[in-house]
Amino acid sequence: METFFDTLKIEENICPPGCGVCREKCTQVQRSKGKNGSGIHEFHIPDLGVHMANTCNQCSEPVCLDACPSGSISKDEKDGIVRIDEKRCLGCGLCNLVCPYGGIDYRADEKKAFKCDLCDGSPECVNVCPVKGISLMKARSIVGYFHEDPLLKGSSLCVGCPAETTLRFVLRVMGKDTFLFGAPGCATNVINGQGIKCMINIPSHMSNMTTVPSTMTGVKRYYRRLGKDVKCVAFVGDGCATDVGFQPLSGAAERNENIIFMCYDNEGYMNTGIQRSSTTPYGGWTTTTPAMGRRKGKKMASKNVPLIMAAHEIPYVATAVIGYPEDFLNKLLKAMAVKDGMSYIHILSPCILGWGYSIPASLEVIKAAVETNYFPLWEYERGKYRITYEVKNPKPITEYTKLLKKFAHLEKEEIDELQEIVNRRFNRIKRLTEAF
Amino acid sequence: MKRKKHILIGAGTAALCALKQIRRLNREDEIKLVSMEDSLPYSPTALPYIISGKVGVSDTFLVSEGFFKKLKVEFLKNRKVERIYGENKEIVYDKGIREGYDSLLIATGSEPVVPDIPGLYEGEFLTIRGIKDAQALIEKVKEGNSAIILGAGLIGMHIAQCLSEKNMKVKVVESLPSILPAYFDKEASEIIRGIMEGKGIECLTGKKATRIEWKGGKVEVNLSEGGSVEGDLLVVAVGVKPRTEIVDGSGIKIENGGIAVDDRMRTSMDDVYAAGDVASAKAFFTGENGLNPILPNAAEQGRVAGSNMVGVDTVYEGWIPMNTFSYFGHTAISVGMPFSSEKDEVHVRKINGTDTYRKLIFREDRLMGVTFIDTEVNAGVFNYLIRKKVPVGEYKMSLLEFPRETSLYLMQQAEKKETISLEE
Repeated sequence: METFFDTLKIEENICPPGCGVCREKCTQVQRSKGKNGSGIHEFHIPDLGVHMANTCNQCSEPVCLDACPSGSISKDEKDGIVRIDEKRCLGCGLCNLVCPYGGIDYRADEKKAFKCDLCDGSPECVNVCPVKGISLMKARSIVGYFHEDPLLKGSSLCVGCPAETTLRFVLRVMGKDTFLFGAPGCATNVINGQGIKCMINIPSHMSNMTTVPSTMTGVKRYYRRLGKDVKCVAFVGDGCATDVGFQPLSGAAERNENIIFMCYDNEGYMNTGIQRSSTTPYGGWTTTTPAMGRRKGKKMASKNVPLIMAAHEIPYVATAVIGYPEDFLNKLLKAMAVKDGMSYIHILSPCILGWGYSIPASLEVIKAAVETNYFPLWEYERGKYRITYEVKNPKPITEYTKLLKKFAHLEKEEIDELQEIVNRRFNRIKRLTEAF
Repeated sequence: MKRKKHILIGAGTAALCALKQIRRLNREDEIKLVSMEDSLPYSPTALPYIISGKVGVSDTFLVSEGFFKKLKVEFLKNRKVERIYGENKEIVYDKGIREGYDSLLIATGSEPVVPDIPGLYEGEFLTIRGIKDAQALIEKVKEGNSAIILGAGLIGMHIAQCLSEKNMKVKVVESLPSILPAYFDKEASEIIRGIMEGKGIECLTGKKATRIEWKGGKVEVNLSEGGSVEGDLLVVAVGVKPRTEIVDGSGIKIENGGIAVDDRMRTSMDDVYAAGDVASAKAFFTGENGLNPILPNAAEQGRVAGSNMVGVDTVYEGWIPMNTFSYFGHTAISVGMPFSSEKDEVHVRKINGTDTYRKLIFREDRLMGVTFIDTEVNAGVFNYLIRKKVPVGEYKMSLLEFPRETSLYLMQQAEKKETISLEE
């Protein structure tokens, strides 16, 4: 049984004081179904400056279900919604007593328990919130595509490294008949194993940094000759994809080999001691672009590799991040569907050690990179450019740089320059989407 | 890996939660659920609602027939387990049939305590523990007749309410000085009593039943300090005790009247676990073993036992007293310690002209217990704050003024902290 389902997410403490629009809407919706109550509740404590809302999490293993003495609470196996069968509800209040998240209301006057039913999949509160603080997290639509996880437990990547999450996600979507290729880099240990330990449950091959696309070419052609449709997928770092191994990558793109090439870009040689690579951004600190005295990190802008790959006019090129899994999923599906040529996906993958941020902040960093347009999410599909995630109000680049120690030394002048690069690059993509 | 056989004795909440947990963690092992009743699993908590007529018997079954088929569980009805032979890892059923197990869960629940009162057994009194008891009581309900209930605990008061709603005259006899003495302090208990008596339920507290006389379809209960009450039927609801006869002679350790378990729900015998009302398990506040026969604990203990039975080491954090009682459109909730000790800081708030009562017990900056009457709260959130030892220092007054809002706020903050506590 899958344990991932849709759930409502409410932003913390952004409700307008006194607002209760979500509850009013829910009450109205419930009334139309002949029910009395609301599945979402605002709560305001003006003295503490608290203005928030709360609803049911639709837990994967709900304790309310176990504590119901009449078996009237169920978790739907299809949509994951935890529902109360009103006809059987005793009104004893035990569910309210055991739910640690305040997801169930108990109404003594009506002798009924009441909770959010997620409007059977399309919650209306999401649409009415005046500050857009409620969103539906759609794990279900992604998990539906998941196959068995081929990455075994105990991989030797750093704790919290988003590259692991990314690789796991990619391989779960790829499913069977996937052949994984790697090159020396952070993910080496996962793809190649470590000592006598194997950490992956699908065929994989390690090449030199300079031979990944050529090896993939050979393997893909071999399978094709056998009549087997095997997905040849590379998962290599920016050192391999954009520096050392760029020529054979460009060559494979020019030959339009039917391979899926993915670069997890951590903007440097993180595995060997955090040296600069061609994707290290302007101003970024590395051990070879130090920040001391007049030296303020890397002097030149990063190489815009996804755009270069698009210039090869291969069928599919995209940028993706694990922080926007639905977007990522769509891109993987498109890449997998390409049978007549090459797909290239460029993934921004922050490095906890090399970029200098705390372990749990990976997603925060990724999201900030997207929301500031530092790393816009776009795709190039058979001649057409498209921005796949439009940032409504792009934040200033400082919202991103402030999270990372590698930018800590930047002063206004460099920040302005970085902002200028970000704007220029985003506008270029924007113009391409309009032009083609 | 060899398939193991798990036998679960009992078909209440604890056994079902253990069963679900075993299946969650292991799809292969064999599971057998043995019930001594002939119905689908149900919870005794639902019985008063059957009596009141709010739901029918079939609406209170915890799971359907298909549930066992789907989870590939063998469900044996109407079977009693007589003995456990730990050395051979065998159980003996009522007809002498033996069966081996790899792990065994005792979740036989509890049975009503019947006090030793002279004359009690000379007539037909009722206790409420099974569906049959509830049905027997329903048959005796007659408008205008009067009922006597011995015991003003949650079950007793609940039955009192049900019968009163059926227009019966109800008298409750309690030997302790207040009603619901286990969960509510004197003051809260008086408020509840006021409502109950307003609805015509007579609460005779501080009075012991000394002798029971049955004459011509009537029952007369003689009380200590003189006097007596007369009624048409007698319900005994003075409490429950663990149903432990199954372990007699097996050598499994008994304490406090229940089966002693460690913090992994293991009994003193290898591969034998116990959970629910039958178990004497660790208490959250004291760390010592004791009984706390309430449904939420049975669920939690069942889950912990189930995990450990399939080899997933899980520690039971201990039970916290809690309960909720709704009566005539009012609600009384108690979570955590119901009574304060000298080292505690206690805040009480009453609102004039209403029955609202709030009591919060703090020890230093931790919340230890709450009592709410007619206060709209998400009670489980307080359970969370107590269990997670969330520091509430500067929010004490806010918790008293805005209990629902403040508790939700503190819970959300604590959750947020929990998710990023990897940092340190």
